Amino acid sequence: MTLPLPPRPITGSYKIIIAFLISIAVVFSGLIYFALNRSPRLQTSLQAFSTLHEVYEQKGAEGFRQAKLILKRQIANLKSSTNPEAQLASFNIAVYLFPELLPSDNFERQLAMELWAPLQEAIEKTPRTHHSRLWFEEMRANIWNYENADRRSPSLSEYASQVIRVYERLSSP
Amino acid sequence: MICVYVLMGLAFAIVLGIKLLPRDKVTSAKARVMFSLAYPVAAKFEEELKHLRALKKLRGENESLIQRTIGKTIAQLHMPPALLWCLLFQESRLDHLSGMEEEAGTYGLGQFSYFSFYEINHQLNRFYKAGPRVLSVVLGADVRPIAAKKGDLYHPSSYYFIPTAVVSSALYLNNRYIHLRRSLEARGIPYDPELLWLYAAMAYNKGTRAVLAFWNEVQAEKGRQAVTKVVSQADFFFQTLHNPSLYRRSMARIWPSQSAGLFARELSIHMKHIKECSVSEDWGGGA
Repeated sequence: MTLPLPPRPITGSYKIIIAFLISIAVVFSGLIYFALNRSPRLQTSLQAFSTLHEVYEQKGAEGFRQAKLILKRQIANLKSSTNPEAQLASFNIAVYLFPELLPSDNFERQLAMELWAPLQEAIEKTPRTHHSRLWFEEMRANIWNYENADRRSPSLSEYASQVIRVYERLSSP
Repeated sequence: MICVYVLMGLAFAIVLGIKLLPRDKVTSAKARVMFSLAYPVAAKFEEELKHLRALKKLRGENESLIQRTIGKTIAQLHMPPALLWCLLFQESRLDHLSGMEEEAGTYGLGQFSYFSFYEINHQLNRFYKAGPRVLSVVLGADVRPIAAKKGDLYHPSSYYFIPTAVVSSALYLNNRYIHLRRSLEARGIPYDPELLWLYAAMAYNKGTRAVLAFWNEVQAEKGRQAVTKVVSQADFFFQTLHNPSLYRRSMARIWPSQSAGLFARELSIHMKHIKECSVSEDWGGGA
């Protein structure tokens, strides 16, 4: 009868290989974790953007202007981020709220400066007036005609939708 | 006195020399016209028309009225008739009552939406000063406000009235053309005016933003020269129609991944059909 062989001891080279594999797993797990979680700067900016429509009611016209200015600085900073999600968000928010931040060689800049930026400025100067409502209707039509890509199931991007929400509040009587 | 005569002679020679210089590449290559005078170009669309006629979904008098109105409209707007006809064919299969029963949100020949009507009714001279005049010339009067009115299908202010649908759709397409032209001219980028009509058709179907995102993507990937090529050389543009991933990356600048993929596929197919329908065969049109 043969006795079972004792387990082979783990030699030094095996220990190195195991340690290497564990460290690779840790690094990849960390990369995946940070990739799935947004950077704090992006989180802050998106939060400010998604609640901008409430600011006027809470803090009035001057409060809204301040909040928009702060958001503009955040978006300007985010543009230089290496995070693709941050770049995409900052670009799309800039198209609809801060086209002056778009690079001069960007093809959307010209139309954004013409089609909604002046109307937004006019609404902010005289919010909740009859005229501001007319300007809002025009801005909304311009954005829909500019971006909607499905005539049978019309929809807008979340960025365009949020900007419309903001100025609807500013122009509602 | 002799110097004055010499200078005058030199100036005359320079002016004459400039007139004799060869024209720039984009213009001199354009002796032939991109859009076909006879349409649809592709046989498959002609077959489809026969089928629609046989099923009585397209009546002869309506088809003739569409053609006559296109003739009157393009005389005012100088747009290729093949492009306008093919765009209406792609949008609605020339069913001028499309959307009337379903309340789908898009209506008639050009599949107009609430916001399309808004632009025609309230912004007609915003982008093209002669817009209201074109309406009056083609329809006999400025018939706004235009809407998808079911009550009287032959009233000129109803979008279900064929001449109104044709000229309104053409004006909307013309506005897209103007938007795109402005974007290029603001950057000093030379373009082929005929090719830009194809981009206008793209903007009509998928929004001006889709076209600008496409140009931004081409620029980001291959530089400004590549953009100049795709807006001034038809062959370069036609090659992109076989590159759906380029359209997907363009759309991904705006939409989440799944929507970007869907819109990109739709756009690529739509533009292939527009090209097959309206572009003359020696430019690569037809099936």
